[in-house]
Amino acid sequence: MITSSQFGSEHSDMDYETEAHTFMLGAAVEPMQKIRLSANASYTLGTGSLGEVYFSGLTGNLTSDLKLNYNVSTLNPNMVTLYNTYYVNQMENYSDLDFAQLDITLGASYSINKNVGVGVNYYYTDLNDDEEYVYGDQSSTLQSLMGYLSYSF
Amino acid sequence: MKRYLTTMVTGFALSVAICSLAISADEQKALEGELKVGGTWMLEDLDEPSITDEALRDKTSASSFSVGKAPGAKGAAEYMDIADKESSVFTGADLNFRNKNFDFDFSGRYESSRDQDYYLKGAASRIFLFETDYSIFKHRLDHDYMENLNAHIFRAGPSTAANNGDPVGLPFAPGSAGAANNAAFYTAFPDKDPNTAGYQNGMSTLGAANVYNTDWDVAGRYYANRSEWNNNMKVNIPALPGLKFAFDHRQERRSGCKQAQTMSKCSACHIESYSKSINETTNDYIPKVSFQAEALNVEYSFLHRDFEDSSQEMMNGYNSMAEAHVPGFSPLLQFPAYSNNTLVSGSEVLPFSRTPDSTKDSHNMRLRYDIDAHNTITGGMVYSKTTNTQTDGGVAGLFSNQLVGLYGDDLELESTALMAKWNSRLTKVLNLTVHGKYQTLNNDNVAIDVNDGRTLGKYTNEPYSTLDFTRTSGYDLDILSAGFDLAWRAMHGMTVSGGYEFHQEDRQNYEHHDVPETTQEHTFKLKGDWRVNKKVNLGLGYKLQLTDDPYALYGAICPPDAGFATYAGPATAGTDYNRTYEPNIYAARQATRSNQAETAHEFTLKGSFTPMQMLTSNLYGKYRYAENSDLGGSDWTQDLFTAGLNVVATPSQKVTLTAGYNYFYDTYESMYCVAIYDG
Repeated sequence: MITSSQFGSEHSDMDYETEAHTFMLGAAVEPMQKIRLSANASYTLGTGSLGEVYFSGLTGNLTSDLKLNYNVSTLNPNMVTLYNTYYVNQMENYSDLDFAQLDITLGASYSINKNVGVGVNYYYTDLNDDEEYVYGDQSSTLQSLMGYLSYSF
Repeated sequence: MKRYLTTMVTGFALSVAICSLAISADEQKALEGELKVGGTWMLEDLDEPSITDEALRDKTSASSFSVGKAPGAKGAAEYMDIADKESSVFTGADLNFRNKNFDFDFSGRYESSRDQDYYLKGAASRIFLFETDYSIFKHRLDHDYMENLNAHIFRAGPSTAANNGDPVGLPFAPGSAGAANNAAFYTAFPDKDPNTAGYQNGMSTLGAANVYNTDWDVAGRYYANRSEWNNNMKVNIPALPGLKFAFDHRQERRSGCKQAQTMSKCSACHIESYSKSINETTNDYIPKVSFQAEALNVEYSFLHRDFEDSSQEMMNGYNSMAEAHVPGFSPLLQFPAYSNNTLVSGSEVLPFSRTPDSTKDSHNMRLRYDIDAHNTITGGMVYSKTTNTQTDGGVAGLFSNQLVGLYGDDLELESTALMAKWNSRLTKVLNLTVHGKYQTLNNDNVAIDVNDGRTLGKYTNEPYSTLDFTRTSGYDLDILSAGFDLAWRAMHGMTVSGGYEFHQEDRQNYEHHDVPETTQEHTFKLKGDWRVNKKVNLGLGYKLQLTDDPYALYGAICPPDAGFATYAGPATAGTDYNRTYEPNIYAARQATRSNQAETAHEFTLKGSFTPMQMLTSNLYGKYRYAENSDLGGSDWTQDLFTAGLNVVATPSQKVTLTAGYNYFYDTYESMYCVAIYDG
C-alpha cells in the first residue's frame, strides 16, 4: 500500500526511429599458382533515437526536493538535485544509440608443395560507440594475427 | 566438456581406425583431407577499462568503488574468447573417407576450451547413418553499473535519533518499527547496519524520494559459454524398405557468470546486484518412426525436453522497512517481516533471480496421402504438455510455499493442434492449395495467497482488504486459421500467385486481462515472378492484412482529455483507500492502446541482373506500413523499409570480387504511459 506522494499516471506521444547501413566488400585473388590473397571488409552504421516525450502534467508538480530549497551540492557536488519527476520529461536524451563498426580481414596463403602450405590472416575490428547506454561506452578496437601450417593428403 | 570431447575424439578415432583397416584392405586413396595447426596473437586486446580509475573514485556512493571496475567495453569482442589473451594455439582438420561399405566426413576446429566446433557424418552400407555436431562459444555479457540509479545523497553520520533534525525524513533511521526490529535485522545482516563503521554513510539518505544502488561485485566480468550438441541416428531395415527408425538428441548448455539484480519493495528504491553462476542444461530426446506404403506416408515422433537450472540459488536480505517523510506511512509489505518487534525467523532472506526447471512432452503425428498424380492431402496432429516442475518446491522458511508454491501442483501448459492441407494441380498451369489449422491452449491458473501485514503483530487491526487473487493465464485461447493459395503459370517464365488466409484467436480470460475477446485477421496476398529474359528476373509482391479488434490493452492510459491522473495527497487515515495505488494508477487508465496493426500493407521487390557471365547482381526491398486508429489518443503507426544490393564479379578464374549494401529503417509512433512517483 502506497500513500506517500506518488501521484498517478501520465501519457505522451512518442516515436522511435531505428536506422542501419551495412557496406561489404570482398576480393579473392590468385596472382600466382601457389599464392592466394583475400581481403574482406564490412562497415556498419547504426542509430536509434526516441523522439520528444513531454508529460505536460509534470511541470506544475515539482513536489520533489527542489521545493525544499535545500542546497544539496554542499553534500555531494556530483548530485546537485535529487530525484525529481520533472526529469522524466528528459527521457528522450537517455536512450539514444549511435555506433559504427568496421571489420577488416586480410589473408594470404602459400603452397610450399603439393601437400604442405602456410598462411597468415590479419583481423581488425573497431567499434565506435557514440552514445553510451546503461552498460557504458562499448568503444573498443581489436587486432590479431593468425599464422598456420597445413598438410593436405 | 570432457564428456563431449571424449565422445567426439573416441568416435573420430574409431572412424580413423576402421578407415585405416579399410584403406589397407581396399584402396589407398579412400581417405583425403587436410590438417592444420597454427597460432593467434592479439596485437591489441581488451584489457584497458573503458572507465578510468579516476572516474571510479569520483563516484560517491555507498557502493564504495574502491576496487577496480571490470572493463566495460566488450563491444568488439562480444563473441571472441581469446580477446583478452596474448596468444593461443589452434588446430583444425577436414577428413573424408569413402569405400564401398563405410564413408564419413569430419571437420573440426579447436581454438580454446570455449571456442570449438566439430562435425562428423558417417554411414555403414546405407543401413546405419549417424551425424553429430558440437560447438561452443563464449558470449561476454553486460555489467550494469546502475549509474542511473543514484538519485540520492547518503547522510553523513550514523542513524541515531539525534540526527532526526535533518530537513526531511530519514528512510532508514530507526522509526516506528522500533529499534529492536532494526537490531534484529542488523544482527543477521551486519553488512547492512548503518551504525557500523563501514556503512555509516550507507543506509540513511536525504530527500523525500531516493533511488540508490549497491553493486556487490563491481569488478565482476560476466560471460556465458554456450554449447550445442546435436546427434541424429537413422536405421533403414533392408527387409522392410518402407520402415525407418530414427533417434535425435540435442543438448544445449549455458555456463558462466552473470549479474543478478533485485530491489527492495516500496518507498525508497534500493537496487542491489550480485554475481551469479550460470549452469543450465536442456536435453531433447526425439525417437521417430516412419512408414511408407505406396501412396501413404506416416510419421510419428515423440519429444521429451528436460530443462534443468543448477545455477547458484540467489538469496537476499532486504533492508529494514523504510520510513517515509509523510507521517502515518506504514509500508506493510516490505520484507523482512516483523511480529511484535521481533524479526520473524525464516524471513531474513528471500529468493530472487531463479529460473524454474521444466519439462516438455510432445507427440507429433504426420500423414501424407497421394490420391493421384495431381492431388495430395497431408494432415497432422501435435499434442504437447509443458510443465514447470518447481512450483511446488518452495523455499525453506516462513514464506516457503506462499512465495513460489501451487500447494503440491505443477504448473502445466497444454496444447493440441490439428492441421490439414490439400494440394491439387488443377490444370497444367493452375495449382491450388487449401489449408486449415486449429489449436487450443490451456494453461493452469495460479492462486496467489498473500501473507499480508494483518497477520503481523502491530498491523493486526489494519483494515486492508485481502490481497489474495487468482492469476488466470493469457495462454488460455483457441486459434483457428484457414485459407487457400492459387498459383497460375500465365506464360513461359511468368507465374502469378495469390491467396487468402483467415486467422482467429479466442481468449478465454479476456475479462481478467482487459483485452479483446476475439481477434479476427484477414490476409490477402498477391505475387508475381517474371523471368524477363536470360539476364533479368523480377519478382513483385503485395500483402494486405485487415484485423478486427487486434490485441490491445483496454485500460492502458488515461483518457486523452484527462491525460494526467492527479495525486490524491497523503492519506489522512489508515482507512482512506481512495488515496492508495489502485485508484490513482490503474483505475485512472481507461483508454485503449495497442502496438498491433488494424491495417497493414506490405510491398516486396526482388530482382536479379546478369549482364554477362562474369557479373551477377541481385536486389531486394520491402516496405511495410501499418496503422491502428481504433485507440484512445493518437494513432499507432509503423513504417519499415529494408533494401539491399549484392554484386559478384569473376573477371577471371583467379579473381573474385564481391560488394554489398544493406539498409534497414524502422520508425513507429505511439503513446507512452508511465506511473509517476514522488516518494
